[in-house]
Amino acid sequence: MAQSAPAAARSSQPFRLSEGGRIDRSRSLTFRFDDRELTGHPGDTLASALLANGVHLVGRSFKYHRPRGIVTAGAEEPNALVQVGRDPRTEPNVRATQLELFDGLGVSSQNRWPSLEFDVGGVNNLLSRFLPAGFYYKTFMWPAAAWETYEKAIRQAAGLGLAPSKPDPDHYDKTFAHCDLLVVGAGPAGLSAALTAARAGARVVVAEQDFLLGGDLLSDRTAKIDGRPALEWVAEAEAELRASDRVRILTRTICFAAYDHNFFALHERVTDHLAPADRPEGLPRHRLWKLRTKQAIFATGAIERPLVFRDNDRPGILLASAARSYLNRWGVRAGSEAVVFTGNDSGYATALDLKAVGVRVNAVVDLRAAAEGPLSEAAKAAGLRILAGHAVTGTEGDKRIARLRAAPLDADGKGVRGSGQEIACDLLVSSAGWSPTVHLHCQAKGSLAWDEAHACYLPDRSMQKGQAVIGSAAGAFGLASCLAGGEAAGREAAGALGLEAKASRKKTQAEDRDFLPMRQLYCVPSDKPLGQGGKHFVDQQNDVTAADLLLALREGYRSIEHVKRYTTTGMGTDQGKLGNLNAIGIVAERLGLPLPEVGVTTYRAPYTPVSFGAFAGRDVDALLDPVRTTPIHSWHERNGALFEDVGQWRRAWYYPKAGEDLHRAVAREVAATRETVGIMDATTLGKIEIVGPDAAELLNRVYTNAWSKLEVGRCRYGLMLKEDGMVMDDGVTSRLAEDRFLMTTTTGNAAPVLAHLEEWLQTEWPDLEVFLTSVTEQFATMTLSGPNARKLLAELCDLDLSTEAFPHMSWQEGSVAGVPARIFRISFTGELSYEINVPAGHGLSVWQALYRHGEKYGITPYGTEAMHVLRAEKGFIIVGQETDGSVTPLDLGMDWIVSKKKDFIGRRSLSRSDMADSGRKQLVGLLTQDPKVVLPEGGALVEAMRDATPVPMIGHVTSSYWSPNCERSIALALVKGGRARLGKTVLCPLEGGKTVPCTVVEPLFFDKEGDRLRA
Amino acid sequence: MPEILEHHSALAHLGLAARAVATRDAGQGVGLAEAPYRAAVNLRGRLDDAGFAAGAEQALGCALPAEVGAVATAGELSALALGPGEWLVVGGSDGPALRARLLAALEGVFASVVEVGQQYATIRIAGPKAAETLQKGCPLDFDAAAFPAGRCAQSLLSKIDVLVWKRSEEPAFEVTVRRSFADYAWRWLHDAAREYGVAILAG
Repeated sequence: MAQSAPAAARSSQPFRLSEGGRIDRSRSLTFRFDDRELTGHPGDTLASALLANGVHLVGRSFKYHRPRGIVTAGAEEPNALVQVGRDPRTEPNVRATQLELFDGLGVSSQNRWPSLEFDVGGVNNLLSRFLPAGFYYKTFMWPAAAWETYEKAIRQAAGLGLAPSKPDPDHYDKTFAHCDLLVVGAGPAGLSAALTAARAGARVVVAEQDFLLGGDLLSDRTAKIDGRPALEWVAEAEAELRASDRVRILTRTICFAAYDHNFFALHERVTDHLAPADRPEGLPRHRLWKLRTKQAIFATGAIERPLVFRDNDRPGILLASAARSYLNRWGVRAGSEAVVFTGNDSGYATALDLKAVGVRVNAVVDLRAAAEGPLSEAAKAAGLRILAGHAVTGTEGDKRIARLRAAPLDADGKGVRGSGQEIACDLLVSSAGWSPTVHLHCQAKGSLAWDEAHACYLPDRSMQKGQAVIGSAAGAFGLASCLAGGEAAGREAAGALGLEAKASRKKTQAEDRDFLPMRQLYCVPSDKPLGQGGKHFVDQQNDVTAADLLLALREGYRSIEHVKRYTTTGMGTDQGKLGNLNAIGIVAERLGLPLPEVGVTTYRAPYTPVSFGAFAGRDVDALLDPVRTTPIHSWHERNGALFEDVGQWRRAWYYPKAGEDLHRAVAREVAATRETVGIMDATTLGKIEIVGPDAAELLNRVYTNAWSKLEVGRCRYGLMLKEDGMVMDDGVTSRLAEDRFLMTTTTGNAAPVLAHLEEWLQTEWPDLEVFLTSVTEQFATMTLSGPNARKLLAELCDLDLSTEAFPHMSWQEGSVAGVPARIFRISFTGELSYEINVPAGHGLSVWQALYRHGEKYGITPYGTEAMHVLRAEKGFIIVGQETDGSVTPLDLGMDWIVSKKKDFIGRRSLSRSDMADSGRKQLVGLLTQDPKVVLPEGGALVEAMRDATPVPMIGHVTSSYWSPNCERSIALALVKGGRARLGKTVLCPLEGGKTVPCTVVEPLFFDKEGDRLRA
Repeated sequence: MPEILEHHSALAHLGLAARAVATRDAGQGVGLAEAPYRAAVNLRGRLDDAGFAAGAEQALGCALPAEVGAVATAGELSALALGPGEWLVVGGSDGPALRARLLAALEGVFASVVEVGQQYATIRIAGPKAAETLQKGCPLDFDAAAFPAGRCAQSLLSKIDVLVWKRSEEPAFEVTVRRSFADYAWRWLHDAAREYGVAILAG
């Protein structure tokens, strides 16, 4: 910044005081609001900088498009929501009151067109009598079909701000965390608790939503602790906490959710406060903390409640505490001529502070019949004009308040006398009292108790162990009470952790001022009936008025939850932090119930909105989900394979040569495998080693066939059912030793099968002496398949591979290319095949050796697609393709594998009468009558076409390919009563009216005798 | 004649060795390295079976730790208690020999000895921010009091199963994953450590 900046800044920030506050006047920051260029200082929020520039009008309201201004100085802000940044690095609905200013910040106002000053949507305000609560529910109900038309127009008009149109360019982080004590809120109570527990040696996390510690003390120009300015105490506390490696202070971090067992979610805005060019490279934009703590202390403070009076929503009408914050923390006066409207003593603090800096305070309008309380007395002494027993009955002013009327209030608070007096002002601040921020306590299912004196809900019983609420969040509104309560809670937490907290030598000294006495009016009357001549806003963000609430009651709603949903009060992004209690009060009054009997709406996470980015963290793009690859993957890549995802595995799909499409490549791979030799990477098949004296017995119980007599060195195919008798998985299991088997599973079912077996072992058969160990990835598995497989393998293997020495369905241990290998002579292609398992780390080398030696035979790598064709030619099923969880072995025509002599999982279900129903869908083969037509997989099958729809469906195509070896198309299908239809014709209707006639055949198309397999 | 075939680690495709820096140049953030192949056997048995306990002790040179998460070490072998009745025995570079040794010692005893060294990959993560990096994806508490040197635990890192072993007082952990997840685990840790600065170290 130029040296002359401070002088220039002062002149351009007419409402900035020349001194005071936690801002750095030596530096100026330039920012843009819509098309205006303005300046502020480090330490400013957008809201404080706008007010320093005299800007109050910051947005248009949601429904009526009324001009709206900044109301608060914190997270509870309902109005000052802005669009930050430019697409795609843009975010809507950012609270100006929490948005830290940086040089070059660009923001736009929302919900206005064409401009904030002139907004066409403002016509809604004139039409407002036709837009009552429930307008959309009532108007767009009929006819139901028209909703699609209505919706487009409503969506266009609804919503605040714009979502980015492109992917988020920023990155986000999320992390777990643990601590002994979480302190939420770093005001005097929270700091005091954190200090006490940290001194006892606890591992403490302090979470503060603000970028400065101190809480309300930051907004107090007179508070003293131990006779010194309170912020000196804050600074010392912060320095002591930061010096400890057992304490983590998280600023700009909102603890937005409390879950059971002291699990909390926190949202940290890591770099939002920095100009984009200043954001350090590796840092995430936001971070989500998933924090587990042993103890939690909520020192979350209290939120001032606004008074609800006629036309209480004009720019220039703020919370009294907010105006005080802008004055004391940011050196900004929110106006030149002020009126304070209050029902308690704390409004006077603002009046006195405003007067102290030279703002003309034209009146303090006090609901109470007599202004009493220490600050009221001080105000009287200072000569402030106090209108006790009065109410503000209405305001005027176009885009900023210009004047108000105040009239004497009836004793019962239900009416006013006369039309009152007019008072000019450009700033009106109001205070109805304070609502403790009990959100986390309530999210954790803690109960509330109504405090009639303070007219607020206080935390009552906590439902979680080790949670405490302290400070003004617990109704301790005085500074001394906050400090003492913090220390006591810190000591108690330390004690619960088994740590000893020494009592401080002397009690921290501070004033202990409350805001009593107070007079609570949830709705301030005016000289006209409610809803006439102006609006009493309860929820400014959602444009809900007191009249809307009464309408809901007239229409029969009673539950506060229903009133909330019907009127949408408290349903904006601010979740009714300002308005909810006023709404409950108005409802209680009209129903004639004591307020606690109306209850409160449910407190739900999040406390303030959380970015989707923070929830996603690094679970995006390449890290969204693991991609599992085999040890041979790099070879597939180098050799031009295309891949398909099978679960998390990425498997070679086919290996196209130049100019080949899927069909030509697969035809070549299939033909080579039948004619010479193909090689496939089968590493992904699940492998489970089953060890123990009861290993065979376990297999007997989980497979449909018998295993006891399988000899060591032999392999057997098995079918596994779920308890309901439906096929769950299949695969070949081999006997490695008397007490040791190797089970293979389908790729996608490796983990579910292991879990299934473990569950039965652990819960039903703990007596079986057998252990299971997954060895899927211990081995790289490659399949050599084809007439030349034996010749090729023999060149590299030390075993006798002749059929006599090494028959089909047997396995042997040997070496391949010098590497120890388990070789299984099993086949999924119908050709002579060897599945070679070698240590995973040697997989690539062995594959390359086989390939090198195989080149003279024309060895051809084949992928999953060719494998599917080869097995379909043989009618071998694929679990998950021919089965879908509703298919039994009988349906598949696999009765031969179902033992009648022993029990197994699913057996009883197979004896249900429905299982024998001849109308069940059964596996058959289909041959299209035109051999060139390949049916679509999933295609529906019917008996006959007819004009009336729907045409009854009798089944569907499960697998369908062009078979190069059969030189025609082949298909497998599940068809009702399929086996009885052999030789008959079924139809497959296609899109566009074409129908393909097919002949039902046995599901076996190639080498029906199986000679090739046993060659 | 048998050829001498190359053994490829799970992360061989990343060319880490060529990108590694010396430990002293690793900076104040996080160092990552792929540990070389290590023999490993999954051992199952019942500790209350005297034959099992004695046989295992004879093969290992130390008693199997009973408490889940404990690690017993004798010479180059360590036994990590993964769960009730389950240990991962690691050490040396000859998996078949380790398997054979345990099988021989447990002859006639109800036990399961399965060689698993090839199916794991181990990433070493070290440096002042090692725990904070792991913490991002793993719900365990890595505070020295909660996870002292000489402890191991099975948990999740983001979406994958991991075995975490803190071998010494140094701020360093061994993260063992199934081989096919090694690429994801490496990229995940590298990304998570980015804000602290990441150095690739020799294995």
